Amino acid sequence: MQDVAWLLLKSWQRKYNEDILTFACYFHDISAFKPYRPDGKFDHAEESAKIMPKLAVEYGINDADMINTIVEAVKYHDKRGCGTANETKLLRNADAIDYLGFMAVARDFSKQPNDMSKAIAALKKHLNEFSALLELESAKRMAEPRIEKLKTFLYEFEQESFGLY
Amino acid sequence: MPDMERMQKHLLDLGGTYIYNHARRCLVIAKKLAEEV
Repeated sequence: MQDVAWLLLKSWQRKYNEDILTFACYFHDISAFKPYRPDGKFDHAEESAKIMPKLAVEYGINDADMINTIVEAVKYHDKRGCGTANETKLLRNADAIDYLGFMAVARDFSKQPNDMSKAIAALKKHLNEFSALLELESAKRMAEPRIEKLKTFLYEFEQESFGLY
Repeated sequence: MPDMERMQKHLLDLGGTYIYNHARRCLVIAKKLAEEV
């Protein structure tokens, strides 16, 4: 009984809904992949958000408020300052951090295995884009060493490649 | 809680470990940031 009470207390103390945050984190990029990926140029956050209501119901999430929060978190996960839900802020800041540091290097080089100049260009672009999305002080603190490492990588890469890229 | 095993399979089928592990990292980071919101 004490354990149940403790779990309930922890749950009430949380400032986010576990199911919403988990679902939004898992599926926020879903429109980037077939069969969800639309043809032509598209806003992947907007398109992913459109998929959320039906997908949430398929996973047993039927509460309208929960679905609305999932939609908001996914829709605004790459748009600074948009949305009001804590889950939106958490996803946006977490997603940005995951594209900084050595993780960013791994991600961009794995996407461009045959063209390092494209990977370097993507890294420079992502460094600026994702740094700008950080709003929470905790996120800025966590991101700071990643940003420094990424800048160091870019500098050292340029040195060792004699400016060929 | 949504079916995590089903969500995992769904993501792996869509985009392999690249997207699945990104999703998992996002969730871990988001929870670490949650103290502040």
